[in-house]
Amino acid sequence: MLADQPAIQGISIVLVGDFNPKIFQPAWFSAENLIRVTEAEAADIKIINPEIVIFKLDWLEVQVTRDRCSFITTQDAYYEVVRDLCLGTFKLLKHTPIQKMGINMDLHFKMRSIEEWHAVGHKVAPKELWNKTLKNAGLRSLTIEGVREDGLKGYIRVKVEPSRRVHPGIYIQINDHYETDDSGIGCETIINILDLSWNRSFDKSEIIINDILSWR
Amino acid sequence: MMQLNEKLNDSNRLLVGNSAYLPPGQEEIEVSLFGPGYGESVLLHIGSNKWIIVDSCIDPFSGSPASLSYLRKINIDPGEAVKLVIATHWHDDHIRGLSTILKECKLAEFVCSVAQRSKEFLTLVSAYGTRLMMESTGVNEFYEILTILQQRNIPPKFAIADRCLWQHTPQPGEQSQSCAIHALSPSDASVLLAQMGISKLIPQAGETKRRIPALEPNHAAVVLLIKIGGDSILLGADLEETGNSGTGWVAIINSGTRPSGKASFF
Amino acid sequence: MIIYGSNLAQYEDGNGLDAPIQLVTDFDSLHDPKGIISCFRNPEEESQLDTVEDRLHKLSEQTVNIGEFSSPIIKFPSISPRRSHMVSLQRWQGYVIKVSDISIFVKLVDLTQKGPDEEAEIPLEEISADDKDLIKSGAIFYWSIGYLDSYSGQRSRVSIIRFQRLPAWSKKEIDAAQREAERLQQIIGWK
Repeated sequence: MLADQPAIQGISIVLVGDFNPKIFQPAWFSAENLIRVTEAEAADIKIINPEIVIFKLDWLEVQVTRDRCSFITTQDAYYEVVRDLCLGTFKLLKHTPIQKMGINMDLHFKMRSIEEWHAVGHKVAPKELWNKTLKNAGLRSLTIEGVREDGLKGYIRVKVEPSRRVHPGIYIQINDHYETDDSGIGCETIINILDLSWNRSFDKSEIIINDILSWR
Repeated sequence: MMQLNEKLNDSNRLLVGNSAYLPPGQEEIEVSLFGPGYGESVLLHIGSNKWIIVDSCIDPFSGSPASLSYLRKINIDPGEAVKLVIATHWHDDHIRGLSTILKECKLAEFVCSVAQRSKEFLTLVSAYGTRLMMESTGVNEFYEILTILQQRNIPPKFAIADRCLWQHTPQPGEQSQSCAIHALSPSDASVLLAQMGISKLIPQAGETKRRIPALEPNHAAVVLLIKIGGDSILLGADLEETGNSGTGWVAIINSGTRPSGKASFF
Repeated sequence: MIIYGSNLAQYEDGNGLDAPIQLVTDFDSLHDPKGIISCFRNPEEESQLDTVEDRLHKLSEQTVNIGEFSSPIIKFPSISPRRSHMVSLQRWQGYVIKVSDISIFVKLVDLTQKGPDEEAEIPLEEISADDKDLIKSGAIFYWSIGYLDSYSGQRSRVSIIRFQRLPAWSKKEIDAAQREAERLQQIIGWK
């Protein structure tokens, strides 16, 4: 459980592979009972053509190009719903080649004061080294990558920045990245990883975020 | 988070000078009941640092199985001390965290109802064993338990009415009491009914994915009689009275082959 | 139609949460070198990857000459328009135990505090009309209570119940489960 309540948060599931964007229309999703019929009818369709599909629902944005498919939500009530949608989609489209997947969290936390805001920046990126050569050195962006501990291919990448949406605020992005060695033979491996790793991915993200913030 | 820390501090203050976190003596029998309700998980010390864990529930403060949290607090290594891990039935509230317990209790035998000794039950576990269905269902836990049993290459022990599951006879000079653990259920008739119920839960093609409902009445439940020296403990495991003489509590009372004696703790 | 290289791995502004692809129909935005990485050209042409700096001039010419319709210009990365955001105070995953004419009796698993399971009765009017066909014993749903900040900044307290939607059981899945059961029977002696 997160120790601090974020002011803004969202997740995205991003898949890299070979897609046929035209399939991913709201009508298809509702015909397969993956979203509600009324949602499909009310979808805000930005574009549908063989190269790219973008549409929005109240709680979801779907973007599909030939090489990338993204499911995005900024409402945490729908995190598992987005996961289910992705799982359901690619259980039906099981022959879609997918080689990479990112389960990504984006969170903005409001700090209690400017001093606390500076303190977080100094904690993750100590300034002693920089103050010798730069005036008023401040953290703009920090990205740290760690190897996976679950035996799967990929990495976990954490980005910490001053928030541009909440002030004084800290932005944390967690990119939980998975890869498979499967080439062109479907998406079962990646989808099974999504299914089995979802809880673990969120638990790990919570630990990382709590570690970054809870020392204050 | 602030509230949680305050609660923990309060409970620690109350326990200073209290013996709640001291391990039992070598010959001391200790029965600990854990649960949001009453006894969703039972931890027994049967003497000589031998422990039995029956079912599991999660300690909301630690997030770990309550019995493991307790054993750690009294500095007992579950990997060495726990001899049996028993799943009396597979209702969610009695089994959550049991796979974690089995994983830590490396020397423990695993016991479950013989009603689950069927290909249909394994089919159910295999079909539903993914995380997609529901947070920590009994079936999810069994899926993890099967994985552990595979890794250890150790078969489970199946409990059926009047079977002795475990016993210890002290060696000459050993300062411990004799101990015997018997299952009093399920009866033969209960096994048949439970297995029929399990078969009906196997999904059919085209069916919507739903959570497996709990089988009612709980024909598969394992009632335990634990005899330690001259004392007996009866653990009822949510077994229900069915009104049928071949099943439920009536079947236990009517059994001519069950261990004799009356429980002093139940 | 040409779609140019995407840059989804790095968002330069906006601190994430940005749609990696943002549609723009404003011709003037073509002159923003930070923004435009791809656009549509005549549909007969093949897809290829390219760079903004090399082709910016040609892109603007080609887009203007498309005919009656202005082809949408894909711009990414970009600062997305404001979105609604929700932060839950409490979340459960639940399943239906029993259905009556006016309500459903459910069991709730606490996803927020990881506390004990609870049982509740939820009036049917709390369920969205499109989900009512999904209400059956064992049906799984998600329930969140929290605050929703609309894209215009209005905060509302919300309670969202949504039933799980997954593809139905396939014969392949059931056959796979039966084969796995046979394998387990052999390996761990579960017989």
